[in-house]
Amino acid sequence: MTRIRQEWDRMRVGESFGPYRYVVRPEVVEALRDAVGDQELTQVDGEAVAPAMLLTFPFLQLIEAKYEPPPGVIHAGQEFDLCAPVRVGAVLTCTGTITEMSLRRDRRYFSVSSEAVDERGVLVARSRSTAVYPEIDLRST
Amino acid sequence: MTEPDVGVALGPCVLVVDQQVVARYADAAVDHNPIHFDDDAARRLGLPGAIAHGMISGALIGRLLAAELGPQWLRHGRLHLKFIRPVEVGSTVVARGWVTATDPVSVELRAETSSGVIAITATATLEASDRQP
Repeated sequence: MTRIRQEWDRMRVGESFGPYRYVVRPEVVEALRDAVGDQELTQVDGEAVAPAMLLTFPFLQLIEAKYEPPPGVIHAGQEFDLCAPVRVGAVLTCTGTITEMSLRRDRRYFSVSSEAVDERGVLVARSRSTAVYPEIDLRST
Repeated sequence: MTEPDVGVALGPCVLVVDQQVVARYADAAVDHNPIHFDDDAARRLGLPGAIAHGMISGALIGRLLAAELGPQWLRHGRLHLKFIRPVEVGSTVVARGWVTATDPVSVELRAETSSGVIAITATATLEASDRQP
């Protein structure tokens, strides 16, 4: 069995990730804003905030903290329920669970449902990320 | 945002997704997947060549929604993004939306390249009870 298939077979629906701690660093917020030209809603209620889509970063890193995903994973879907602005400087605690693993048209998909709570205990967002697992191992030559 | 009417168009937001944008995003996300930088690696997976992170186009949609829906978007927004086609590095991506309902406010969106390739379709919702007076 190939390494990439072994890694897939280790994953399980119901498997949990985290808690993973993520600090919303101003330089990362600035890099994201700079990359996508986003200067909208830089402040809310007198506090500096990040674009909501920054939440993709901790939710991805939450998974990577447990598994180093093979190169070639492709993002297929993303859902967010936003509950509070992502404050610059906030310390997010992220947790998640594999909610689906499936084979569709010869491609392997997995979904992870996650949530992020800040250091004040405020639920910032819930998320569901779906990705395609690569069939070819780019690490092999 | 004032009370939107059904059919009102949102956007467009335009972004040239060049190598600099991809590199900047990758550094911020700590996502250096070779499919975003290495044409050969991407082609081995059946892609046309190096592709941009899907969430670059997703973030463009997020930018559009923040601009149009205001702070309430960050508190009570729901977004469902479906990645349809990859965006090749060097493409220009345009995000647009259309208000489809007002109670609750619902918006259909898409991000497509200037050559007409639909990268993302999306639905966003802002619950009526959460709207600012």
